[in-house]
Amino acid sequence: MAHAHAADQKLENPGALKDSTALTAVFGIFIVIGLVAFFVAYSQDQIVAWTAYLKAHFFFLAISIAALFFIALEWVVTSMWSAPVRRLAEGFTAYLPVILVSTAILFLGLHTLFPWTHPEHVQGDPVLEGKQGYLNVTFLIIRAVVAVIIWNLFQKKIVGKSLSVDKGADFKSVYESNRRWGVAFIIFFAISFTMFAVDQLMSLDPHFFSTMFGVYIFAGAYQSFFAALAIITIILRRAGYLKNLVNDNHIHDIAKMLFAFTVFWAYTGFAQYMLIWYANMPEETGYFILRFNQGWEFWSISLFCAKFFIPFFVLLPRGNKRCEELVFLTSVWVLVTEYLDLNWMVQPQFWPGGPQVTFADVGVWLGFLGVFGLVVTRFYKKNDLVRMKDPYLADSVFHHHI
Amino acid sequence: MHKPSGPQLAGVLGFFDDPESLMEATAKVRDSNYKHFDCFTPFAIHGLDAAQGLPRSRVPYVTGVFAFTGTALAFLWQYSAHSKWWPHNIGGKPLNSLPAYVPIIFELSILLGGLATFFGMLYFNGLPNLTKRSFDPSITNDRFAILIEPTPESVDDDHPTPPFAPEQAEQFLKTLGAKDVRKVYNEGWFS
Repeated sequence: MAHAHAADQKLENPGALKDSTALTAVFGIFIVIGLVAFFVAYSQDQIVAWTAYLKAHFFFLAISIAALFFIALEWVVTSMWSAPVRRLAEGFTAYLPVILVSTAILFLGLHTLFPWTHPEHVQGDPVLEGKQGYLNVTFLIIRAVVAVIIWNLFQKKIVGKSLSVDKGADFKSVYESNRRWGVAFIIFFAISFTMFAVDQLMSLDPHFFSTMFGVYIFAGAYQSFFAALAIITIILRRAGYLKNLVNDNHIHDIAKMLFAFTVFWAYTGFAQYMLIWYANMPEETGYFILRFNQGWEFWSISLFCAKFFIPFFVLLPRGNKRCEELVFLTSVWVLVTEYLDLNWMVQPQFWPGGPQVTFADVGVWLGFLGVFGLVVTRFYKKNDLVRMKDPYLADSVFHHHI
Repeated sequence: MHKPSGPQLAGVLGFFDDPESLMEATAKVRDSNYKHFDCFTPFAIHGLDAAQGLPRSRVPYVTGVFAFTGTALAFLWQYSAHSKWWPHNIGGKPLNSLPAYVPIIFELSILLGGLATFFGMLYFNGLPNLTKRSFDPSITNDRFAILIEPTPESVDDDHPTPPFAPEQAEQFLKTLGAKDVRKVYNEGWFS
């Protein structure tokens, strides 16, 4: 029995992440690369610089807010399996304050990225004139800033309570509180994240609208969150931190979630595409006509194969989901395809002839990775990597798996 | 081979009071010379399949094969219907339009996969079973039992299986701490 073993083995606290100047230096170099890439691109072509910025900004925003959604959900459903990896996910949310800054910087590029910010573009276009009540710069800035601030408040509340368990707070009262805050956050997240997707990605083509868009972005975000969680778990496990706390069963569980949201992403992506294809309405089809013409058709089909078929078939057999190396490689692959997905949403609006591969894309993404890495490792250095006083921890470590 | 007259010996049954002692005894039976045995419990016990030394279920492979058969059938059927047998222009779309096929491809994969899972489960469990009845009502209520079954007679003349000795098996179960150890006989639903 699971409980019989639990008594025999002692669970060792892995402690916090050890200081590593080399790691900090690498992330620092990434930030420098990002800054240089952005400003060099900016001096040559503002569109290249701002699209690279938007993609990298949204990529890390999505992972970090999806992490907070995951944590809230695990509190609400009283999850057991995730006990040893929840603190790692909480680390991702340490990036949320940075989103406030990166969103503020994005406002500087609004005029370059979003055609509806140009009055001469809107005037005389009845569709865009009708959307002015929502699509105007003042309202966009207010709602984005308010949403990010509320995200941060939720993060302080939920993650702060979770950290207080380490310092001896009563788990039951923390649970009661976080369950309520978790439910509130999930409702707010559904609305605010859809709003972010609509404002920052869908309105690149202001005529286009799709009620599926928010769900589609969420599916990709949650899928890439599990990929990121798998990567960080496997790296820390290899580094010897989570030795007797995370075993193959947990890798299996994360891989199952990654698999599930790979399927969910394909489902939302296809549902959005098929209904628009069938109904054939002019405002909607423009989006896909652009992406199924000239240089983009190959990329649209490749994206679907790369982001759905490859992870689907790799993660389908049970043995593969329990193989650390394969899960790691698949996760990296999923993160690459998440970037390609964002690229597929952003670039065709500016380069209808085909994808534009620029060094700025890579550089700015590395810059964001540097910031993300610094913030997240700072969180790991300050706090224990596993919430040792979680009453579900022993059950999770020795849980039986079919 | 003659069918023995009278009720056929199903094996030797021994009872345990709790899942922990059942698990311990099961692992010992698994490591013994008795290769044919089964456990009866009123509820599912995690880890019992490992204690019994059972291999992984083959049902997922059945599901996989039938699900992909469904995928192929649904595609072929729709392709033939739309482009060969009954070509119609619907909404100006091309005759062979993959997006329109996908929902049905998906549904038929799920349907065949689901049905195959159900029937595959019945097949591998040997259900429905009309030749055996529950050996004791208490194993569906609050007790746990191990049944050591007679080994089928070997067809290999060079290595004949020793005949099943119920008394030895009874003795063995008793040493494992089983209670109410006794011989049980197959009782069919219609016999």
